Amino acid sequence: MEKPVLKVENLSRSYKDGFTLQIPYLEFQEGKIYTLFGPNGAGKTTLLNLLAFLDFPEKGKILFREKEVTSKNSNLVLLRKKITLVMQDPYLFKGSVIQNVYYGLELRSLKFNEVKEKIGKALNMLGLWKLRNRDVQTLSGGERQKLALARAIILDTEALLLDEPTAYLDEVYTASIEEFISNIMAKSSRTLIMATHNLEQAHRLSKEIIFLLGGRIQSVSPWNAYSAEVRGEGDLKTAQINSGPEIYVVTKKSGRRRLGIDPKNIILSLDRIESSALNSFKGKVTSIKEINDLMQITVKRGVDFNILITHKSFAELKIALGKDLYLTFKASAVEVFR
Amino acid sequence: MDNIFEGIRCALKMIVRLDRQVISIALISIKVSITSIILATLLGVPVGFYVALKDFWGKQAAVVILNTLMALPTVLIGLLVYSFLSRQGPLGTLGFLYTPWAMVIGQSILAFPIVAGLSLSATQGVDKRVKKTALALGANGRQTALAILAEGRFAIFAAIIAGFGRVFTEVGISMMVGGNIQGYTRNITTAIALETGKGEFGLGIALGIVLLMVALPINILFYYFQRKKS
Repeated sequence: MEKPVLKVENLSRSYKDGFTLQIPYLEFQEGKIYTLFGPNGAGKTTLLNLLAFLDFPEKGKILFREKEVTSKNSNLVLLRKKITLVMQDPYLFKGSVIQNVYYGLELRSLKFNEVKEKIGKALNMLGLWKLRNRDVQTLSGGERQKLALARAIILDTEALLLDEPTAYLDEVYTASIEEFISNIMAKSSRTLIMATHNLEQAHRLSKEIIFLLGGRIQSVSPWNAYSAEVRGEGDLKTAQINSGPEIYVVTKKSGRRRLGIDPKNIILSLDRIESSALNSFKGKVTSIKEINDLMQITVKRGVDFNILITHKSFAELKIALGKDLYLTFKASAVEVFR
Repeated sequence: MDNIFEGIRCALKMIVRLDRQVISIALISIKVSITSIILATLLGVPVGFYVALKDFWGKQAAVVILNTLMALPTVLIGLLVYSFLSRQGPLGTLGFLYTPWAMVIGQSILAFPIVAGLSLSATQGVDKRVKKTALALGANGRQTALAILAEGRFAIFAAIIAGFGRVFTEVGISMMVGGNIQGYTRNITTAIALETGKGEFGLGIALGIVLLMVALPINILFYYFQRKKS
């Protein structure tokens, strides 16, 4: 049976700048990887701070192992020791690499000699062993991020929260950190919740993607994500979407893949447009919603395609439920994931 | 000019021979100032830390008062301490007036706002992520406070050293509440004032050199911590 480690019920948290995070219900199961996906300002960091018990909601509840956690909990420090958060721009304490890794263990009253081996193992896994005595001020951005990760992972907490761990890193460091996260999670029963604004990364690392936009969870992903069979030679291939149309994609990958199309990259029109875009087909409007100053139109063509357009375009096209519209997008606008 | 050169020659001779009078006066200065700075640190660092981190009613006023007190004239502190410790004063029964303790009290009052005010700035200067990082890694309130102090340690040491520099070189308080009693409350600054008045430039200059010899490493330390901080 699946056990939730963390649960959020009817949560609401407002800030002076007018931003409000509102989550009716969310739960995080033991041993799973979750990604919080959304643009900057979607509420990912706010939610992580609440889940790490560093902030508390004005309304609603956060439950850890089915028990409510509030700022007045007498065992709050003990609860915080069961969860740890690595910030987007992590702070490293003045001193050496090894002193930083030992910090959280020291807070748990563990003597250095007892954990020496464990520290060595963690630093080795992240390729930081040779830097163990280096002053943290001399580390590069990638090394700093890895050290912050090592400092958190070594604590073996029940949940690990990562706030955009690769936001400022180049591709090489991003790949090595993603590999490390995947490896560590494969051997562990802990829960990982990671914020990212990179959908490809979200798909690479987890199956559970939570879409946040304007402080709210989007029940329908504003991103169009599909399973498809990618076929063909060269970079331009075709992808047969399950129960949907066949589309053109630009990728080196083939076989069973996940596809993503940014809803802002799809053009809606009343008639077929003559353009360089290789993908153009007709569908029927099944849903119309307002999302943050934009209109989200769902057009069905076997599967649902979500398209974000302005109010002006919405009015000009006279969009209504049941209306037939053409969808047009470039082959390169389709992201091909794992 | 001759008497100045004669004074310098005489001063160097006294220092090289480790003149007993010079040593005794210097030791009184060092003992009194170190005791004062310890007391001012014990009180000033926590006060600066508290004001920097806690939100409370009147916080802005507390910051303004601390900053104003940093410029307190020593004669005003001397007058205040004198009025409390004199025989008619509320603490007159303690019998502290014209003892090193009276100097310690006065110098501690002088150093307290300097240490507290600079500690406040030092704490405010500590990266805001320190608190969040410590809490996220499982620190309790005390451990979080220690982490913040540890991160701001160079700036806080600099605050203490600035306070020590101020009390070590003050003269008003020592003169007014210490009484400049030879071998008991006569410190470097009061001795320089006295000897200069008497025209004894040799001892005055010798003590001045000793003062600078102590002030120099203090300033080197101050500079070191300032650099470390930045």
